[in-house]
Amino acid sequence: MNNDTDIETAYSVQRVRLIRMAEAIVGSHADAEDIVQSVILRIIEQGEPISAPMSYLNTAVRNEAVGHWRKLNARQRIEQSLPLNEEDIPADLDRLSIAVDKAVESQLAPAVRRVVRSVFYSGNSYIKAAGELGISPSTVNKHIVTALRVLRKYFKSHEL
Amino acid sequence: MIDREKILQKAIHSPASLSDDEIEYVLSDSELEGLYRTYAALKMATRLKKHETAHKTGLRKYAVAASIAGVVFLVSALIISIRPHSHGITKYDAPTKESVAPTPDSLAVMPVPQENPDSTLQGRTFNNETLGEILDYISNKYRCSLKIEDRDVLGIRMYFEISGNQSLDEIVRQLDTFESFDISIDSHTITVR
Repeated sequence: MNNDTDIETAYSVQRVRLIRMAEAIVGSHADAEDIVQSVILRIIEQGEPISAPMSYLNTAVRNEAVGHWRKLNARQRIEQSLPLNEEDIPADLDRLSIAVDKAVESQLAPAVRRVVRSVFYSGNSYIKAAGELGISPSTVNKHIVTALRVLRKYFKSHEL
Repeated sequence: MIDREKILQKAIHSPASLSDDEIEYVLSDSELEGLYRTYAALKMATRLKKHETAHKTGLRKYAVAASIAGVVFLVSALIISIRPHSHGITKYDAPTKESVAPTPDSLAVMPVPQENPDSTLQGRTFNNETLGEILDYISNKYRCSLKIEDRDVLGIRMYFEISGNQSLDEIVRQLDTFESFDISIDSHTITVR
């Protein structure tokens, strides 16, 4: 695959996506911005010709983000809700997003799905989700644990 | 006895309150670790989503703000255009029939923002849209045909920007940098495999 687009063009086109990807890996928007920024500066400083700038940037940012993630200890990973093992970081996060959406839609009961959408996708607290859905916070809690069990089984059987 | 469920709840809701022993326990218990891994995957995937939602919400806010600003601007322009020419501010000028019923001419002088006459010069940003949607747009805009050899790839979601002055060849070359599929162009037919 050849691409004669220069690295700066690739960066301007992909910047938002790269930050999003880095944030999913390191769990912090500020760190993700720093990672993307440092990668692009390093590449520009090196000044070496790159045949496929978009793929190159993608890989460089992912590697940098994984390097940052590696430096975090288990406590920091748990506190930022990050994977504990490297094999849990997929090479293509967009695919993970699609797989998770598909699993949430196809595997969860409607009541559980509504809770997952409210808590994970909308970022609501349990209390807010409970209020919006007209259920108790303990039911929200129960549905989340149910969702995790169902999704775990699904991911395991689909090797995700 | 260690309560697994309780530790999982803590890991999800108040991870900072987990003791070192409890963290060790999460790491050593395969079921608990598996549930936490699922939780982390859900978090990672929804972090990608949240950006998209935030971006759309932000755009919606701008759109609403722009609409309000547009209405305010039009109303102001209308008021200015129907107001009789007055050189004093102390005197109340009773509205005349002419002034309350603006003529088409008076409306015509309002500075209405001009649209770009050539909309094909405008680019487009695809934020978490499928390859299928992107290809539809390209085939309409550049009037080219599509040959899809692997339909599965059409569901791949991606961030992609097309600027107004980009050539079709250039767009295809940029799309070809994505690793998940191969795309090429020959005689105005885009082939995806």
